[in-house]
Amino acid sequence: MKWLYRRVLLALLSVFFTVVLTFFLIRLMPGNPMDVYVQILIRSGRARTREEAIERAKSLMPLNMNDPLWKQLIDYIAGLLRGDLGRSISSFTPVSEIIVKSLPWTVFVSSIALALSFSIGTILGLVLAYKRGTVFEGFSVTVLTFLGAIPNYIMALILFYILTIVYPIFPMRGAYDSTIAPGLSLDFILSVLKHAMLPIASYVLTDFSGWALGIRAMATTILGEDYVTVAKARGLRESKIITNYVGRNSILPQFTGLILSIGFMFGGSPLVESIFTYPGIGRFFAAAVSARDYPLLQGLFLMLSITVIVANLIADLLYTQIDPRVKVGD
Amino acid sequence: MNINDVKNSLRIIVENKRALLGSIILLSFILMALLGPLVVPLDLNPKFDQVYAPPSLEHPLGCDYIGVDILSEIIWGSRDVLVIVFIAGVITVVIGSIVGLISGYFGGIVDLILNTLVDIVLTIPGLPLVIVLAGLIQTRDPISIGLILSANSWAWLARAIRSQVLSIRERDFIEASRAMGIGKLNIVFGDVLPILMPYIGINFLFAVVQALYASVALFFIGVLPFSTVHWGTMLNIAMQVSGAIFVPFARHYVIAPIIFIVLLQVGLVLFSYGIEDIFNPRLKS
Repeated sequence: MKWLYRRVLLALLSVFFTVVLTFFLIRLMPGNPMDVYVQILIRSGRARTREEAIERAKSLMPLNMNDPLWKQLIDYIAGLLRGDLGRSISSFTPVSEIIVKSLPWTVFVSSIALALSFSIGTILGLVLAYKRGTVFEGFSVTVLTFLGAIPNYIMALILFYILTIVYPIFPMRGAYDSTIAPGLSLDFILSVLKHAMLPIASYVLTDFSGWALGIRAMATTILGEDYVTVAKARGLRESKIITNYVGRNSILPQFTGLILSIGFMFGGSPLVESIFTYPGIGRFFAAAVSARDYPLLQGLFLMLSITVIVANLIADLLYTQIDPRVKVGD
Repeated sequence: MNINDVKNSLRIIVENKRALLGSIILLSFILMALLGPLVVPLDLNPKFDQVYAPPSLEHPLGCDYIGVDILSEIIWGSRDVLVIVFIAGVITVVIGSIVGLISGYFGGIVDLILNTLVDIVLTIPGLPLVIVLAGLIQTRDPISIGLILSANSWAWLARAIRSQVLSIRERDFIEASRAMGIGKLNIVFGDVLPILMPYIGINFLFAVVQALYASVALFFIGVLPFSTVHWGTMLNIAMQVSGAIFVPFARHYVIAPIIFIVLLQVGLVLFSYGIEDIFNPRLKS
């Protein structure tokens, strides 16, 4: 129990640290954030005079920039507790609204991608362990190593280039065809799937090899354990040994990895989503960086970190539940 | 390491096909970065009659959107690519090792503070943090870029080193050093560190792989002003600035940086697996 309290305390500490970090990141930027706002407002033509720009900028900032730093930090945290993440300076919409709008798209694409790469990888990894020492295994491991070495955004760029530009088979941008009204119609669902296909493929093609190689290594080790030798001596069929003895035991570490990946799933990839102009969290994140949209950047970064912290916590708690051998003490 | 160890290591590299392929790729890239710029000049002046010129004898990889020779950009770019990942790898390994060694050997309150810090840093998503820092700091200095890229990668290493130190510190010869009254810092860096060197070496390679992934991403997304010939910047220009990606006769310009990035990444990964085999014979199947 003591361990549990410490683990939860650590998670809370991490959240607090991230909040303070995102707050001070804004201070790191050259010049006064207020001036940047004013400049952007004038340059983009949203305010005609300097006075008007200053007025508007003030209304956008949740904080009073003239207050001492500690008071601003407290105001910032108080705002967060009310769910107020400020407003984006490039679109003037509340940051929380952007998150609510974009998160479903990211979760949609990343969850399908994660489910596919996990299941394909796990099954393939077990097959490879079963076929160890064959030409098929050697060849597959080489291909998997090669695929795993390619960054997912490079894979996305290759797919984007070949399948939307050179051979325009898939749509280039967006989450669905804008001529189709969103709803539960077959057309809309097909359009959504067609748009999500390449982003999903980019993740799956570069990720499944990691799962496959991971479980293969684990399974190969377990195949050398005494209880497997005993099972063989008892004359059990190899396929039965693979599923019942090796599969079950080697899948445990995979599950921890899976839960951790779920935490990172909410962020999507800033690069992959930008390449396909897919309206998810990652794309807004990348856009916020290039537009120097600090409130949006701050809000998204905070959201990303908190999901990872929570997933880490759940992974640790579940692991002690799933694997009876692990008893986390001091 | 005596001469026999070196011979053995080389034999293992040659016998391990993946490691051999990886080291050949890696060596070619290092040679390209070191010697290439001495042989091939870089002329960044626009030549508008050469825009998107296809590959030819004079321009083996063709020309880019302002008529600059792509091969010379790739060669000069390899220097920028490798310098940054090398610096980032060194910084990651130095910070990670120092924190891990001290945290593991000193124990007590020092360990509690450092370990909590490591736990916290590990929960911050890596690539987003690097992108935010790069966007805010806007630097051209390779060392600062290396620091940004190491922002949370050092924490993985610190955790791994710490757990290794926890077991090493109980060994007899460390006990003996302690009994002789040798100072803690001397033991940590004189006795414990040398044992961990191979392990740190492998992790240097892993850190370089990570840094390559993140640094190309940074320049590709266009948040850092660094150099116009970094391969990530070349991709950024091809994709966003010049619109070359939509020009049917500019394919060689889009494909060239992609091929070199993938080759380097694959070479590094193969090489690091090979080195892991050498130092970790148990992993050999």
